[in-house]
Amino acid sequence: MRALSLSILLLLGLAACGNSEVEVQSGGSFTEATVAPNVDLGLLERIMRAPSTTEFSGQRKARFNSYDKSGGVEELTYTESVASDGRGSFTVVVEDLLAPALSPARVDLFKMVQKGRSEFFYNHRDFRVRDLDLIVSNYRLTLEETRSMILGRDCLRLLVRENGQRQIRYEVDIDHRTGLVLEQREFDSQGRLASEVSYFELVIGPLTPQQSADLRHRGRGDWRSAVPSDGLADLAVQAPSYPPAGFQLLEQRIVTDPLGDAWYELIYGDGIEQMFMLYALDHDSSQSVQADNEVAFYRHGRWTVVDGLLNGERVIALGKVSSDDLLLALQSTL
Amino acid sequence: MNSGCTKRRDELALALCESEAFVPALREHLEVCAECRAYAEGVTRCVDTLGNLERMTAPADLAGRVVAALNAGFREDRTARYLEALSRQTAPQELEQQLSGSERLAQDLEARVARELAHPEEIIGERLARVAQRYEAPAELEALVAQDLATGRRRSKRHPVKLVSGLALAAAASLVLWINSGPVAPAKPSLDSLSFRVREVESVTELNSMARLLMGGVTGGASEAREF
Repeated sequence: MRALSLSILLLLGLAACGNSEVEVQSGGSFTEATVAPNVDLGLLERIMRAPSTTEFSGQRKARFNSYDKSGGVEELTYTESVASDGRGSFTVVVEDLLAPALSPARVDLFKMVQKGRSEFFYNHRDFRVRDLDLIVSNYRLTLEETRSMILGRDCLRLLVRENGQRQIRYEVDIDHRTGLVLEQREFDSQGRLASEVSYFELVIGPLTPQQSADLRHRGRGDWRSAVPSDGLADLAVQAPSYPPAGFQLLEQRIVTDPLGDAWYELIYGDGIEQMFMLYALDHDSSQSVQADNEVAFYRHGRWTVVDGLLNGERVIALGKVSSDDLLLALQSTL
Repeated sequence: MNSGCTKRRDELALALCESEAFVPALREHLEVCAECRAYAEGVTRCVDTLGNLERMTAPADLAGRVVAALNAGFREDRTARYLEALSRQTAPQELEQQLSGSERLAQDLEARVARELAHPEEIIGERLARVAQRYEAPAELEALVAQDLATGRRRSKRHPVKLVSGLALAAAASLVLWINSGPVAPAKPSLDSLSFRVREVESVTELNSMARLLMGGVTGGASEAREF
């Protein structure tokens, strides 16, 4: 599969001297083998690597819409500062809450809670190309013909559609030179704007001494000190035999939550989206709000989280998949 | 939670109830104390829930019922004073004997329960053996047992070499079948075959704290925005 995607990238590169648009479909065949002149061999690879290899800082606005069943929308909008040293350290700090309107103490609390989520925002909330083989298998990628200038940067617009039933759709503006995503918009199954993250200030280049000091001080957030791991712990539940269609295991590690509890974490991906399975290590089942062999699930937009006790083990599964897919994956851990 | 948390929590509850800003010292504490941040989230939800409750008018007879309830409480005080005033009597000899007998019974019962908990299979086996119906063994069996006991050896129904070669053949056949078919994959589950109970919850606050944190992280905080 990896060879297949690399050959697709090679074809992209060879066609770079052509004219307007490229469409990569499932299985890697081109329906229109025409490529914009500014597309080169490693566009997808550059997008994948940019967040951890580009030194930059900036300010951006993040907006999330939550729709209720009657079509009403609740908006959460805030600004955040972002910095990366291009060597794997980064920080995302929520600066101003623009909507909804809250009391000063609640705004403070909201910002403090978000501060501990730097790693999640940077690595898991934002649009990412996470695996070249899987993205080509599971998504149709189209480069728009027109190019745009965003904050003085020459940008390409990539349209992303999932091939399966989840109807995932993104519109992403990418800095051509670095591969950084400068604007991303995600749409729900009804075509409504689900989320939008866009830079309004950007400096690509060395960080200031103050920013570098902040990075050293804040590190990767206060609650996910990851320990790489390559073996399943001795638990009564195992890795799922049937993850959702299109998803493959990409990473496994031990993480610690803010209260100091350790979890065994498996991260699955489909090339863009992710699914997490977490198994509590040394948990106290009496602290759980669920009884044994009972799970609760909650949906927010496309995200589903399942939380419960299975065979006495605390398990959490969450992903941008349906509740049915997540429950079946959970059943296949037993 | 350290000793400083208790005082801080009173302050932050007050700030959240009164919609005031956190004082700098409190803000600094919250920056480093995940437990107090979680506590503050809980306070926020409580304040919202209480604030959204409809105000009820007290029933007209409430004052009268409170007074009646208080008087009922005084009855207990009066009874206690009356009992304290009674003279003490000596218990009859028979009662003392009965009480010491019941103590031995309790000790015996405790020992039996401890044994049952320590060796449940053994106890169940004993009980079943006691209640099972007894049958007479056939005369042939009795004769065979008597013969074995007399000669001091057991009957061997299978020749050991034949048994080993039979097992080897079975293992070889299984290996051939496994090589041809590959390892057996577990059956794909269906929603009808879930071995656990499932319930959908209306709010992320009904989940455990780690699940709330994760969901908040991947949704940019949107999953819990209405909780602040």
